[in-house]
Amino acid sequence: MKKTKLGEFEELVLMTVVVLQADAYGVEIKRELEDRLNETLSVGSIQSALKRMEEKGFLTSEFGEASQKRGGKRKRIYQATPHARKVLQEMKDVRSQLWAAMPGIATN
Amino acid sequence: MSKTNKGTSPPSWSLKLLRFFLKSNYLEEIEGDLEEIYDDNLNQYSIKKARKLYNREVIKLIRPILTKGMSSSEKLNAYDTLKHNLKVSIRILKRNWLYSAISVAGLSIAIACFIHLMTFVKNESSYDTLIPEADQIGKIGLNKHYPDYSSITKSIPHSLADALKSDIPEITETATYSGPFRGMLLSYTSDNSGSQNFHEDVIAADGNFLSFFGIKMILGSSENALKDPRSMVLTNSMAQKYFGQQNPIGKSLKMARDEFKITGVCQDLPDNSHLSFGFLMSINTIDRFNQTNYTRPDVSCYIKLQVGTSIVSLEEKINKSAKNHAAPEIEKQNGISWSEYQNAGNGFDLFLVPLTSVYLHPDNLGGMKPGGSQFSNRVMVFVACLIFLLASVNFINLSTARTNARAKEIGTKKILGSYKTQLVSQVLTETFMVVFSSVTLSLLLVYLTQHSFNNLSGKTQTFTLDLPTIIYLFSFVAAMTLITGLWPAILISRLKPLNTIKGQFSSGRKGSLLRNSLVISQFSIGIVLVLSMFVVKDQLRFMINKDLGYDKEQLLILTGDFHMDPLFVNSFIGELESMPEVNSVAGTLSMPGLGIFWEENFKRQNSNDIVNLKSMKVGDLFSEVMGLSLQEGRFFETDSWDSTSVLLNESAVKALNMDQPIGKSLVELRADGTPMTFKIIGVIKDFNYDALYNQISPLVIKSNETIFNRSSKIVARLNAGVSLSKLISKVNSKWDKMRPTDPFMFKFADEVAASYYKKEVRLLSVFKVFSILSLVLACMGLFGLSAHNASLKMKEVGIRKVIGAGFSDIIILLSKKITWMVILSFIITVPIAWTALETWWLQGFAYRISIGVRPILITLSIVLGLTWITILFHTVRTALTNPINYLRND
Repeated sequence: MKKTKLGEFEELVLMTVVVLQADAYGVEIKRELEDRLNETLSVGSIQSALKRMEEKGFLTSEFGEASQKRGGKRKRIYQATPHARKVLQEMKDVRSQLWAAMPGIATN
Repeated sequence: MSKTNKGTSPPSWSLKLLRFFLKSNYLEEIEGDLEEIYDDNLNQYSIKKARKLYNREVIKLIRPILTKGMSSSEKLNAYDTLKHNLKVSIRILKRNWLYSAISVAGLSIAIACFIHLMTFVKNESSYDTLIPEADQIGKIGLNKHYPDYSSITKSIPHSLADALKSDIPEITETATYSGPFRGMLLSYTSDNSGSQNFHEDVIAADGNFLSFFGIKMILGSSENALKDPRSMVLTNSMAQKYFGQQNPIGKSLKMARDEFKITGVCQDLPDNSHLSFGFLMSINTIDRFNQTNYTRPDVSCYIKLQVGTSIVSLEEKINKSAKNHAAPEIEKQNGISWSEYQNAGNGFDLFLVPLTSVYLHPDNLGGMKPGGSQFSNRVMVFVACLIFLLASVNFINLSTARTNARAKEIGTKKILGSYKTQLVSQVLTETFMVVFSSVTLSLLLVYLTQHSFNNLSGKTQTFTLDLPTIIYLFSFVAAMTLITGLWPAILISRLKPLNTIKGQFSSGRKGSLLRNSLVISQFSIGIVLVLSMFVVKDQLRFMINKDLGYDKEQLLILTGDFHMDPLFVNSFIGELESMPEVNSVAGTLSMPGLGIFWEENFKRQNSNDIVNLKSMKVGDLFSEVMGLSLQEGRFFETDSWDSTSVLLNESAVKALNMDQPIGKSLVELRADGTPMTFKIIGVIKDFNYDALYNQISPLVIKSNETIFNRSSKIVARLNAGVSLSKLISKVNSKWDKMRPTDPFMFKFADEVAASYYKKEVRLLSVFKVFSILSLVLACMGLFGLSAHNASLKMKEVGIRKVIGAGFSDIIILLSKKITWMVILSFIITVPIAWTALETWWLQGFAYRISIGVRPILITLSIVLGLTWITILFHTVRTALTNPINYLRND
């Protein structure tokens, strides 16, 4: 079976979800990524990446508790599936192997 | 939400937008996220900026994956249904391949016909729309009144054009032309390549003509090209014909002993224009157009109006102005006052026809080429719709007939939980597939039959698939699917599952009644077309074979540009007379079917009743050569001077109210008002010198000795049994020796007489094609239906055979109903078709057949014969099958 593809931006969002653990809901993911990437992101881009990955089976989600700050609306907490963790690991391995094979940088 | 937040809450319209487009299961989470971000922003920035950021985020959320109705998961479901529908449809269409093939074939033939006919009609109604400012241009027609009739002509007196323009401020421009002058000999002699001689039709046009109609010039200027006498403008293709690749400007063409300087080359005219010419000469070359003339119609006149001019009030002004100019001249010519002239029932009216209606005007006001006919366009649309109706009926018939065969499938589906809508969509998908493949196939058919259709229609149109056509076709497919598919679909979805599973179903009396009436209507259409075809054929044969009062067989006519050369004519007549194959020869100016006829005013001596009569001018012996029969008196004689003698036909004697005409005087009133007296020497029996649409009108025959023995035709009576091809080549070689400058041209009188009826010949071929098509379609439908009927009657046939019915009993049983249906449609249709042909078509002929029993019987036998042949296959098969095959299952 063909592996479901993971885009570059999707990979970043997925890793952020893993990093944030129980805090991984829309706004927090956006804030964290904006800090790390040092650029402004739209809610739309984050949300579409989340929904797409949920459809592909990289993420699961459930409603968290409501808070006063959000006008009484509940957060949705995202969690990476084991499959997602495996895919992330594979991608990292492929990358580090490629890094090791790159002559210019390896000799430095 | 707390009260303090109210003034600083997110913008309500973008919140509404968000709630509108966002998928509802994402709404709580994302709305919350946005609100949290908004709160943060409120702490950092102004309210205004926070609201702006909020709006921006909402806009950026409009993405397919987050938007209602666009997610892939919802699509998948519809896609699967569609896929299922398609798969099932293909299986069903394949299983019933015969029915599918009949439906597709019938529909695609019908659609192809429809496309052809509609393209034709579209082209016919697009005439002259390309001319700039076409909606402001009109052509002036003339309705001339005589005491007992009036006639419409395309021409008006030429001086009126300028007079109207100066009298009426609403007219901004005028253009006039005269002609076409048919068959003028044009020759170009070049220094190196010898001379080029052709007979051409030439139009004499005024200086405004080219710019008035916005005719594009390739060489020369449209304003100046026709200003000077003896100027000529050619179309591009004519320039190529005479001059090849050379530049024609400044070269000259010789016509009628005049040299014409080529001053311009214009583009060829589009087919869909009533203007059609190869050569334009400046009208002021001809002297009579430089003299004042307010009374004799001689030019076609077009006027351009100011925007927003009312046609009705303008017609009044035009008539007033024209009568002011014409009345004095008419008074002078006739010697009576204008009011006396009018009170006697004479006079005229001018009327205005919009440029775009000129081509389709019933009196062919265009004049440069045969006009179109609004009536036949309507007939075309009607026939197109009929053919189309036929095929649709077939299709609906077949699909409802198949309802029974599908009852079990539908029942099972319903029990398994199908909704009505799902069943309907299933049937509609099938219909769609049939319609879609028919349309595709019909495009192929249109492409393949374009050439033969053009032969039939006399046009050079091509069908192009442009964007509007594609959109049109697609909407057509959709509409057609709904129209033809919805009824069978609803029928199918209404079947009661329990009954269908138990095998208790019937197509219902209602269903079969409707099917039967559809079959009857199909055959009715076929019968109308076949009967019309036979009637047109009979009338055409009648007209071609009718005794015209002169002998048109074995009559050779030579034409050419020799009317100014009577010496040549005389010597050539002598040459022809010396040939043993030739019986007798005469020269003439007038010849039935080839012109030239005049209309002149005559009266009896000592009488004031002026009668307008047609007149012809003929040479000595013409009456003998033509085989005209004399009622009393004598013909013109070779050895006497006949310039003051006339012959009358019987109708003319009646019109002039004469008895004992021989020896009496006839007075002609010339255009300038001077009388001229002739002596009547003979009365000729009426002969048909015009097409058989009209009664023979009164005719005065003058001798060509009135105009210096001129002849523009030579007619020769050939002896019976002469080899025509040998004789023609003999005459041709003699001609080339004696008249090398003029091409040899000949016609036979019977062909000339038949050429009147080109329209009817075309109508006949149209009826042939469409009656065959309609019968084919009706039989296709019948074939499918008979298969269905036979399958329904299997059991009955089986039982009857077991009891002892013979082969012929079964055949009669199975074909009885259909035979009665055909006879019924015959009884319904024949009176209608008969009345329609009598009142609409045969009325147009003064000499006509009456529809007898013969064409009706032939039609009946053809239709019945075809019906039996069509159902033969299934009836015989059913009658021959061993009854055990369909009885053992019970």
